Amino acid sequence: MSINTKITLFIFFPHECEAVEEYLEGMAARGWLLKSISGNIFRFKKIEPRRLKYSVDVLHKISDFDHKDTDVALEYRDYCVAAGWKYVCQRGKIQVFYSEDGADTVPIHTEGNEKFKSILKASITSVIAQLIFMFSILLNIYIQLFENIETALSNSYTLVLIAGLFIAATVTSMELIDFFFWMVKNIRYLKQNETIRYSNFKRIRIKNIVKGVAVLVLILSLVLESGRTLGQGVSLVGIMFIPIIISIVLAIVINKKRYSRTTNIILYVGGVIIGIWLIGHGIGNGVISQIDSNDLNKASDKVTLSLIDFGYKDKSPYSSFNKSIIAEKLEYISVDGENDLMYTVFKSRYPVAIKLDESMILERLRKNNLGVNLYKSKLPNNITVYHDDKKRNYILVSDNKIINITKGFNNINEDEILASFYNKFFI
Amino acid sequence: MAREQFQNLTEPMYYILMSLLKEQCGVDIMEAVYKISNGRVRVGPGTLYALLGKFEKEKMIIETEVQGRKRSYIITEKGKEILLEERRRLITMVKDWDDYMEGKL
Repeated sequence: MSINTKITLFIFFPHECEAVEEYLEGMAARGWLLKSISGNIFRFKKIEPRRLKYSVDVLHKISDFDHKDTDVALEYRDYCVAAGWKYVCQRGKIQVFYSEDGADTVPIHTEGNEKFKSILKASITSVIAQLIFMFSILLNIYIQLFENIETALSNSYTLVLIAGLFIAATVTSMELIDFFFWMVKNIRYLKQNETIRYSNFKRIRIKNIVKGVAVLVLILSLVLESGRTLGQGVSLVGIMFIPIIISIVLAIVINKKRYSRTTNIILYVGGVIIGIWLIGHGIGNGVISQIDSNDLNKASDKVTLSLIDFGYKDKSPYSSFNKSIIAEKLEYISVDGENDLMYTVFKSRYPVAIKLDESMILERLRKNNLGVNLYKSKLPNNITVYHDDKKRNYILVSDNKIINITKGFNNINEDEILASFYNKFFI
Repeated sequence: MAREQFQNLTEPMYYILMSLLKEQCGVDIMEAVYKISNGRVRVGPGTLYALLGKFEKEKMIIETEVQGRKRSYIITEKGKEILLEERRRLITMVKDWDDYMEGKL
């Protein structure tokens, strides 16, 4: 990048066009002339500082799925150029023009209500996209957390992912609320024949700083917390860039090949599916399994109670161990012919995590019609013990630990089994 | 629908329709409006583009010629009727003013 080029990140939506104008005018006064906008990346060229008047205009007639420079966009630009505006660049429905400050250039929109309606129509796609994005994030958080709360809370990667998803959902909902307030307020102004008001640069800058800090925190957390080594952390951050890389490649192909709108929509949908697949199953699983493999090595050391302790052979046992800043989970499964033993030891210093896990384990038993019974065990009073109707599942709960046992053998008295678990994991 | 939407024409609407009593190329309408209104009314290109789209949709104007990206338009009978109705309304308003000020009402 030459010293005559400056690249900045500025996130904005169609209804924030006047804030972008303010931003671009400030940049021109400092000697930077806008050359192009790709996504939210602004590219500037060095010029002599001068006062320019920008118009960041929304042309709702074109689609976000159209390639650049459609006939409609070119025709529209002809009107603006004829009125004295210089065309700079396009980003989807956004067309950017400028004129020398003080020149007798007629504003692109001389009727405020027409401009407002155009922006409102242009915003529909991004609002729908944001709503879908937000609900899919919330659904993802719900699945991550409540599908298996023990795994979610004891896995650093999942925790960071949930934190990231939560930040993304919060930022998106803030944007949506901001848009709806702006829309409702201005519809009222429109009815009262008052001037339509748009967000100013200061407001958007604060919002962008908040978003930037959130992304930075997420990236740092991923690098430092999720990977057991720096390399793995960087790989995880790399995964997050997959959608950005796909969208850049798609934008280049679509603008170069100038396909029809339908073809572009198919390409975008395909890109989204490939992106999700790559993140979820491809590279994602590869890196996570690498991280997990480290934990698996540690897991066998943590297993202090196995089928052998109950008089059976421990044939190809499976064990896993995960630990995060909130909780840790040890899982053990082993089968010897007709007999088997499965258990998980979930430990957390946060009582709320223990309570939540307890209620979810009991709920799962009830849902599967296995029944939940309180067992008066011989263990100390601070250990609550539940079992199902068939006495195959036992749950031991203390203030900071839950052991969920599924036993498939009957040669040993249940109190002896419980005592074994108590001695190994509670003392 | 068109009647309701264009019951009272705004100044830019009135002058755009007036300029299209003669066939005009889209981009020339801005200049025509400026001239007809003696430099009092200026229509921005974005506003003009949006209004031409609406007028065309409501069949108040029709496209007469396309040369490259340049499109020419002219007002239709329906457009003329709406424009004349607005003119009559404005004359009535002025007459009402005069009558009232002269004490005829």
